[in-house]
Amino acid sequence: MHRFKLAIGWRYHAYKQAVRRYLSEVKSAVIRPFREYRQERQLLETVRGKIPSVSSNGRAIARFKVAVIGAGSMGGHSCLGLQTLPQVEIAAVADQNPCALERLRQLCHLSDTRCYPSVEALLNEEVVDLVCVATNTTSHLAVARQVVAAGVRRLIVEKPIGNCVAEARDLACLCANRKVKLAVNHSRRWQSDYAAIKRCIEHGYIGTLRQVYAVPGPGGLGMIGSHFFDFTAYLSDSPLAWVIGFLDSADRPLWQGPQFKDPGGYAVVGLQNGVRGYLDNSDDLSYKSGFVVLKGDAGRIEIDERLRQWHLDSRSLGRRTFQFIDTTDVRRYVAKVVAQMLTDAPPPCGATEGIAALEAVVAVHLSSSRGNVRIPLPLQEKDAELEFPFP
Amino acid sequence: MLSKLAPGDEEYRGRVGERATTCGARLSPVRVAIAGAGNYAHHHLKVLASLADVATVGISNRGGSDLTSVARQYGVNATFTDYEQMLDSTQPDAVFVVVSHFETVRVATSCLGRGIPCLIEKPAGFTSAETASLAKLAADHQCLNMVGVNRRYWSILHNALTVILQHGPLLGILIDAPEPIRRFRAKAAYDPRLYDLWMIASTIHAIDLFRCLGGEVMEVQSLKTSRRETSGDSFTAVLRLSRNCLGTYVSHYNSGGEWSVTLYGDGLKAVIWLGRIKAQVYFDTGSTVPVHMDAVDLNYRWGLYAQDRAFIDALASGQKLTYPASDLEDAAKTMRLIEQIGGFSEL
Repeated sequence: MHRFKLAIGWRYHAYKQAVRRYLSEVKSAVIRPFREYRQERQLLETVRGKIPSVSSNGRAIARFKVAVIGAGSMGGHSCLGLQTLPQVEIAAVADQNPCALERLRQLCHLSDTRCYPSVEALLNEEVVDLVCVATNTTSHLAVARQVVAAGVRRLIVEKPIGNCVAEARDLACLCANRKVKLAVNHSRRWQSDYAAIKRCIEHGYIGTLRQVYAVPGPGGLGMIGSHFFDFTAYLSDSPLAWVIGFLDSADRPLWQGPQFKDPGGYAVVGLQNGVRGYLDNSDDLSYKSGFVVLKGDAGRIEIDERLRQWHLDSRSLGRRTFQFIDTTDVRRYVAKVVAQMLTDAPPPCGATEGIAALEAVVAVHLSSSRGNVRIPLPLQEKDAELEFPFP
Repeated sequence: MLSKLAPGDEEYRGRVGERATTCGARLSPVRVAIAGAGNYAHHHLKVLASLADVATVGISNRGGSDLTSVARQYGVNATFTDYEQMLDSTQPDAVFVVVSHFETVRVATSCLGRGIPCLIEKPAGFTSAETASLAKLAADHQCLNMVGVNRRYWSILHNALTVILQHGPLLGILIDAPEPIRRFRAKAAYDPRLYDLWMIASTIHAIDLFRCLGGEVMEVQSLKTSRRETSGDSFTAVLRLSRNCLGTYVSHYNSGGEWSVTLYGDGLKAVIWLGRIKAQVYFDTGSTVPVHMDAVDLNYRWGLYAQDRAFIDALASGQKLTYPASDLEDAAKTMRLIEQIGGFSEL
């Protein structure tokens, strides 16, 4: 070995490092499935640990009772996520469609869960600690109001928070008055990889953030675009100030039914701290692939959700690549959201953030219909009262 | 047209400056002069020789080293025994001040006074006041300046920090910086005046990392004892840093071992041994992961390539320095922290 060292001189350390890296890559490729499984297990353990076993008044809690309203695809994901939490019991499910209810019951093996044909029936019969509203967007706000009126203290509403800004503001006031903890499920706010990215920005690795460029692909501004409006505000640490939008002209049919409309499009967003956001959610982008570039004055961060990777490119310190360590599985992040909601801590995405994302989506519609003018945020009274048939 | 002008001409400098500001990047190389030709200057020269957009136009040293052979080794055309003569005749775009500790302030003052951007090797002054006065001089002449604390650019340190940040916030920093002063004294390795100022002369690297990693210092509590060294040989300090993390500094001179930095995160910690340049992340699950250094730090003095590159880039583009760079104003804050920890306020 000594002779070898002498023969290759100073390159010895470089070779050693290269061999070590190669071995490490081979190792991670071979044991990757096992490692991912182990990480998921660790994640679930963490999530479970965050749910308190005693209530704030010190009394032991047997199990938290949770009700899910809406037995569609997101309702199914919510139930599967809730089932991973041993401290949680899915007490009841409601949907006006009996077929959907039966399908959900079979999919999630909900033998002990009571099913109701309406929200009213569920709220009359059940006393629950938390309600997940996973209906279509047009009914989010009405259902949420009923839930709050029934005295439930914790509420998760799927994104977007609703289809009318003024009504969403009313719900926020109602929740604040009744001290109801409301979360809007803009999932990236709960994801630890995005929290890590935010920490790197705060640490100064890319200098001051100047621009967020997001290309989530097709899927509708209400359903997908709203995530990225919220995400831009979250990473920029600033409220949205204005929006200029361009809606797709083609009428994309939605699987939820012809009564719903959620066109794609693209938008330019200004934030109060001067950060610019560019979102392209156009329908002609062939496939969904969350790709985001965060550009600062001293570097950039590229996030590729499809490859579950992000790259930190600092002007002075070079490029580093990170694999996502958190889950992007819908069921598992629902579990994280629920676990967080059952603590006393405020939710990372509450009514204010949820409404801001909805306002941005509405502003794109308004801007597009008014010749792409700049729409200042928050929306003024008349604009805020408009209703949209988001699915 | 530009090539016909002499590099030192006012018109030449004006045009280069004009082009740098209009298109954001220079077309001609940045002309750098090096004040000092000691051991550390070699590391800088090696980096500068590798940068295609840099021309090292002169090197000066009062004596002690074979200046001509150093210049030949790194392709520097002009050598000088007086740095002022070098500045006059080469008219550099920037100067790297790599002279002995006690000469740094004098040379830096002269360069900044002429409005020449400087990269000044640490410590830029032996007191915070001295450093602050250099900072003021630089500000008065609107002069780009950087203090060379290359550990800020160590890739292994940032690789470890980003692993911590990936899992949660940075909760704490523990820096253990033993210094073999007794051995140095016995070997007469350095200028004897330095031993009483060792924390400023050398341990500054370790102490500066608190601010680099944890943000501004909000609160400091420190203790020291003196057994052999009159200025103290055992130091302990606890710090509250602006990024909501706590710092712990421990330095027992002559205790043996090497400098180490431990970064505490949520469910993991990273230990970086600064002597061996190795790092390991320990997870609360019991697993460990080694942290590697970037290839660039294998080929050059650790962190120096990134540091010098950052300075040259800022100079060429006319933009400000960015994280993790330290300028004179920032270095004055580190000096104040050293004075608080080491009780050097009476200096």
